[in-house]
Amino acid sequence: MIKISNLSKKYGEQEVLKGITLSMQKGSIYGLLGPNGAGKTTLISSLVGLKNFDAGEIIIDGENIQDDLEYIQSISSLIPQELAFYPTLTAAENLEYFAGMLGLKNATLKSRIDEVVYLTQLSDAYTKTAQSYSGGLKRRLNIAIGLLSNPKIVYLDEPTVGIDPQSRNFILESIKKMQQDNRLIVYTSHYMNEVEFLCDKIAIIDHGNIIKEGSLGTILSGAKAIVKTSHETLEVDLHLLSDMLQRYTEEGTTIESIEYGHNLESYFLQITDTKLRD
Amino acid sequence: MKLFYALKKEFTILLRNKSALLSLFLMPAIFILIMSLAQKDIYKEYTNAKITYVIVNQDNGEKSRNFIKALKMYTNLTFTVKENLEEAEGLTKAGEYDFTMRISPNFSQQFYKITAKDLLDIYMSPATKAPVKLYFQSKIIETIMTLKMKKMLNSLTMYNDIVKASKPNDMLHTHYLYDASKKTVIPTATQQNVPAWIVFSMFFVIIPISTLFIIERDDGTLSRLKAMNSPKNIFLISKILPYMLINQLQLYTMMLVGYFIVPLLGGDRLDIAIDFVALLVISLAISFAAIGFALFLATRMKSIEQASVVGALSAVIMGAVGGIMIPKLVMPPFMQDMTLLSPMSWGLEGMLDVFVRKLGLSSVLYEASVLVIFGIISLAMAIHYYKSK
Repeated sequence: MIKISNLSKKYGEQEVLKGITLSMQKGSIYGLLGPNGAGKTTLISSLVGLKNFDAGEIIIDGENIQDDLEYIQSISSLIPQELAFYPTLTAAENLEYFAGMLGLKNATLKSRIDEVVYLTQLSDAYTKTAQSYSGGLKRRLNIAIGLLSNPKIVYLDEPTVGIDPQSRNFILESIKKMQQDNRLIVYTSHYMNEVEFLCDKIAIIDHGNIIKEGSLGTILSGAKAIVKTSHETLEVDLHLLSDMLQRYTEEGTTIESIEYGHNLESYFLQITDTKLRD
Repeated sequence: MKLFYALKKEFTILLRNKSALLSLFLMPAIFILIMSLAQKDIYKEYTNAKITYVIVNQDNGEKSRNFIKALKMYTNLTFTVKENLEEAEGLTKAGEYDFTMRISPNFSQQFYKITAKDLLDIYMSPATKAPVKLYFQSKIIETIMTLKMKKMLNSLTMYNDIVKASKPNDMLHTHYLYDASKKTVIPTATQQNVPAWIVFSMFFVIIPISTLFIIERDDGTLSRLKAMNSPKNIFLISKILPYMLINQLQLYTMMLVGYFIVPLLGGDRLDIAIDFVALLVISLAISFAAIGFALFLATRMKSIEQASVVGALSAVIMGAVGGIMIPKLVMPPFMQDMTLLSPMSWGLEGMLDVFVRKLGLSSVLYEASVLVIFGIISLAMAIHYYKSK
């Protein structure tokens, strides 16, 4: 779905992307990890046509971004980390405006709005101004706007920053649902447990380079976690952990503790070093 | 349809922004009321000004009595005679009279002498307006000169009738120049202030436009729209059209204030027998210039706070330089030349053409063209800076 080859970008003398090569498949959730200033935002901005790049190639859904940006933008949606909507407008007014800007009208506009309101459960706050919303509700409106175009590719930039656990859980579940429609979700976050829970494939980016790429299992190959439940203690491969936890939840088994020998967060810190990145 | 949704969004946001509405509508209305009432007398014809004063005659000779008698010829200058100077000064100080005039004890003795001096003292409140003082002084001097001339000419019998027949006030008249087809109206403070503060308030759209633009830029809304491939021209038009309409609403609201509210408070009624096509053209040109400048400013400002301060400051400076706060006529020549640098000055000149000089469309086209060029340059710079980021 997305093929990036040797992508490079400079801001003045500073090289922020250094020949990045990646590929992302439809129907998957692709995690993009990296410390602040690693080049994640520049990479996503290049993929949605917000920033030009100096060298390399981006092919999305078979089209070169430099030849047909309009088509690529029509199948993509950026859900930025910022709350990119109008706080003095209601959810209804915000959704109507952005749907209108996408060129939707009449019945199509209404049905798309109804669909995203249902998906993000915004109906209770639909007619209230967005500035009165909780952090979680604001994030959901931000996501709802991003889904109006029914995109094939969704770029989610840290969508769970500053919200309560219930809202986070709701958003993560919603992202899983988005994937079921055979969408490609490109997901960035600083919460490693979210990435572990959601992503099929992960790239760790630092100083403009991809320093590790692959499935969670490949990245954490050999890493184990010790899971203690009310009636057993098991050593589990980390890449199988999320499936196992889901199974326990479905069975109603109580999990007493999980001890990580080697998890994504510790691995991330190990390969990107522990120095502060501001 | 995209334009419809864009306009709807801009209007809704603006109508919910109470502080912006206050600065766009309430502030100029208050300025018009205050300035029209405060400056009411500045534009008055002082030949008809009603002035009251107290005479304290410490001379009581024949010549001072003749002088007082001669002062009666000015029917709009009414006086009371008092014996005590302190009492007269007290009454003037308290505002019951405009002036106190003391006739010195040696008035009759000195009046016709070449060396005559210090015959009269005039006392007034520090709040007395300079034009009123000058007018009163001129009438006193005129009376003295008339008496002296009469005395001189009385000896020349052959000119007596001619002198009696001529009154200085009948010999000189002042006239305002108007378009011949329009009716003649004396410019009042309201007629001068309404267009001035309309121009000023129209430029105040700088603040809501630039702050909303910065919010859209900083919270990622602009990036989101760009990533959605939303047309840039729709975005630009959606910024221009609503504020043009708001500016028109401001214009007619302020005219209603001048027509209905100012007279209720004792000011002069705004005369609205004007060319409305000329008004539409000049007001749209002012709008375009103001909106272009607002967008330019928005692209250069880093934060909402900066945009609010710089926006308000630039509007006030343009107003001061442009002759909104201080009439251009009272400025020294180099300052008058400087007014050309302010787009508000061009707007004001166009508005004065319509409201005060009562001119038509052809007269405002020049000012309107300058404003449109200013707007185009500002917009081009705004687009350039926006793209470069």
